[in-house]
Amino acid sequence: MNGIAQLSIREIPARIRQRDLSVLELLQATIERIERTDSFLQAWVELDREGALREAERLDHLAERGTVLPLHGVPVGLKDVIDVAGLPTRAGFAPLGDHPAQADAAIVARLRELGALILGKTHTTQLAFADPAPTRNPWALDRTPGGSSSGSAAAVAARQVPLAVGTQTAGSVLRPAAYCGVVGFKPSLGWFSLQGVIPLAWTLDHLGLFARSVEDVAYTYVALCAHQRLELPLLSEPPRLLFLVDFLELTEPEVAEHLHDVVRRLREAGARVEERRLPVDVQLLLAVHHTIMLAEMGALHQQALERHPGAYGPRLRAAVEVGQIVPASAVLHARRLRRRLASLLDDFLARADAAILPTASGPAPDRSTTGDRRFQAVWTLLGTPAISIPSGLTRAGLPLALQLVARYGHDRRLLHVAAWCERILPGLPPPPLA
Amino acid sequence: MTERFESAQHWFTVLDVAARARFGSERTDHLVDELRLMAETIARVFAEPLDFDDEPPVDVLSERPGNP
Repeated sequence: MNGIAQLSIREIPARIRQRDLSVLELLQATIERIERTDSFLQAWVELDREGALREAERLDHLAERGTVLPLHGVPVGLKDVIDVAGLPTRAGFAPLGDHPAQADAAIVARLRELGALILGKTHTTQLAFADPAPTRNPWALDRTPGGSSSGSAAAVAARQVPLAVGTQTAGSVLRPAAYCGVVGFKPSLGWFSLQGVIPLAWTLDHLGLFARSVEDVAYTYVALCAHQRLELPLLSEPPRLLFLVDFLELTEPEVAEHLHDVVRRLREAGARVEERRLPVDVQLLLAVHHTIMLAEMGALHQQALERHPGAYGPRLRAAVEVGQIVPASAVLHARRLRRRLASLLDDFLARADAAILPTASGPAPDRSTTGDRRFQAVWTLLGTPAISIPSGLTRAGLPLALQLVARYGHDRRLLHVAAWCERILPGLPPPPLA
Repeated sequence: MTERFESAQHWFTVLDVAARARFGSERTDHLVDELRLMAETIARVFAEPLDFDDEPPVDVLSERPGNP
């Protein structure tokens, strides 16, 4: 693996500032690496070579004049539901065609302001739901990379890019991050603007980040949010954690065994960990999420389903159809419960710095599915920040991950807790295909 | 909430009738598993009673502390 592909996000602008590296060199190395690995990985829908080349030259001129931005030259992949001016947003859905987007999504515009190098579009499951994308898992080609942000997770795991952006309506950032052995972070609901992002379910959709380390994610997040109020303090001592045992009962035995081992390590390092049960039934949280998600999907696709029924993947089509006949009384009941549950869980999470649970019930399954969304969907429903950190490998060599969640709005504190935990964990080697 | 509202079988019947009217019998037969899952989901949602006065149907975000 070449050295450039190993640079952290913080190191890239630092090296450019020191004139050790140009954006053009970085771009060439990145493109070469993608071309060498993507024929079997299939993480990318489209690489914008010309646009990235023009931008690299512009960024190099800026650097020569002494201006180096916080994400100067950092190559970024964007899930193909996010608009990039001049590139089509296909979302794996043929009726959207090849028309180029007229403007950048808000997140893309912000990344450009910070000097990021927009490289192109990564594969998504169709319209960010559950029909698998062509992308393979870099740890084992016969396994799913997870979904729906399949290409974004795989591209970061395979060291094609250090940063990628995805979306999550149930578990589409954290689960692929866990399956691919990278860090995935979903900020609080509404924290990043969804302008210019194709929706799946309006009140559940989140944007999220993929990177190789918590430090990379935190650095990017703080840069993206520089204009927002970030009032939470640094950790002055080891964190207090709630170990959510409800979820262990739903995992494969190897995952439960692994998480107990992770918690033991964290305790030995000084974390105060209490075993707790959620104050509400996990199945209720999932029922509320499922009802709202399918109803919103049904409403969103009212016209498109009538016009293009044959263009839908089987899972998406079935979900949209069922969503269109969910009684309004059930949807309103679910929305009211959502508010109650958010309040209850906020009180519960306030007892500690973060809660800890597995990110997924098992390692990446085969490619017929994108995996189990239950462990991530709960936090998407509640809009709390959540992060997945690689924590080890199964006996078969597939990544395992722990998930940390915190109260709504406590994103920065969650990142501090995650950074503390990451230092205790062994870290993963690059995947065999990287 | 009545016992009927908490019955997955009741909601399956409601959904099945609605699906046949909207999508036709052939398509509905393909949806049986999804309809059954949604019926169980709705029954679970309705099994949790609400206080009508204290829990009006408002948007989650608008009342969240710290919402940016």
